[in-house]
Amino acid sequence: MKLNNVVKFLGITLVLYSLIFGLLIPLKPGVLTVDPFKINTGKDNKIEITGYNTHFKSSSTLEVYLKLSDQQFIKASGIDKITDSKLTATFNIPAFLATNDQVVDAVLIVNSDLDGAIVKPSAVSIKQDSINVDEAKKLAVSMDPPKLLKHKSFSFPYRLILEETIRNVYYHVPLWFAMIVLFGYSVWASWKFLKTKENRFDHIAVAATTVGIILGVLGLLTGAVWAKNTWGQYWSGDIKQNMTAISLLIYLAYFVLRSSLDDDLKKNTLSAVYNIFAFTALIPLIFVIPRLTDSLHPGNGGNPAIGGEDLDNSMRMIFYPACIGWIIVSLWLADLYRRILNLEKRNLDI
Amino acid sequence: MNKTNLLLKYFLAITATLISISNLSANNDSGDYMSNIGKIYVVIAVIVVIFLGIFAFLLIIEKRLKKLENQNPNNE
Repeated sequence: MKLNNVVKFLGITLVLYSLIFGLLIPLKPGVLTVDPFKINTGKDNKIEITGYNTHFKSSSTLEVYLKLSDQQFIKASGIDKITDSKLTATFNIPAFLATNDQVVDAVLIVNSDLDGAIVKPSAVSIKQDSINVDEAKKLAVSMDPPKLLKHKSFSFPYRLILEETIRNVYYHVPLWFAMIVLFGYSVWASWKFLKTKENRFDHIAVAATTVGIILGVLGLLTGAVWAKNTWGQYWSGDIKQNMTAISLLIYLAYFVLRSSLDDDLKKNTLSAVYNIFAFTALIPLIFVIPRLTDSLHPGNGGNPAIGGEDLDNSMRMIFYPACIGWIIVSLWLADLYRRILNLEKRNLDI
Repeated sequence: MNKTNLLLKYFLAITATLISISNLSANNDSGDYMSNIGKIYVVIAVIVVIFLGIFAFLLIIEKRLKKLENQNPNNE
């Protein structure tokens, strides 16, 4: 399949678009650290909050809340804006909390006109010395839930641990999409070869499989780098990592098989059959088994692969073009290789 | 040794150097370095790995192309 120049141009544009905008668009403001994160009941509890991409100093309205339950909010009595990314909030926490637990995990809400509402769950744990629910109800200051402000500018979600690496969704994941497309393309070519016995289909299958394997290896390597800095290890034996490694080994055997046979027709026919087998093994290994057990990858353990929580609308605008772009570019690479295989065959025949 | 072969070796040497440099920093305080500025260097590392892979592939198929060119001196 020779790619049209318009299609190539589209592929280049989409890859460049994903690189430029995927890297330039900022993350939403978030709260990095809360210090101290364990406090006791009582007056003048000072908490230092460090933000990421925040504008504490420059925002005109800035409120900080601790949310103990859906009914109980405690508003900071004083806020000291130190810099754009640092503030100290003072809380007066009543002596008794309306709960039977000694320790309550509170949600931290920083509400500002520039950054919108930043919500950090279980940010602060409050310890009460003794439990008295009746007294707590008398002490609690009735307050309506705060009106959360919206962050206006276009940005990617801020997630703990992931932070800026959320952008890897545009570079690591499209490799896998492109790999699946290329392996599928090569299965189609193998099928056509078995029906027609025309060598050009064998060349398509070999080229698509080669580029597919390269994409798979790159996917594993980029995944390892990403995993080292978020999950803690290059290889954590995650089900999806293991299954992908197995399926790549199955595909590598495709080339072992090819190199072990001398007769061209036999080689091409057998490898075409093997290729179809390899693809049927790939589908359960990558799409089915990881969903049956727990995985560090999002969208496994029973959920659809790209659920709402993992990919929001701002990310979709970069992610889908990136996938299309990388698919086109990798088809282009496979096509270059296919043409070389074609020429080599032709020269042999002369 | 032909030119592409040399280029390929040069490329492998660069890759090996990059890997050893990243290992060196890993021994010191790569945790601090890579987690700098919201871990943005992890994204850069991922992009570098992808392009290294693509360039390696291009070098390899160029080698094959060169062989073909040498076979047909009339076909420029």
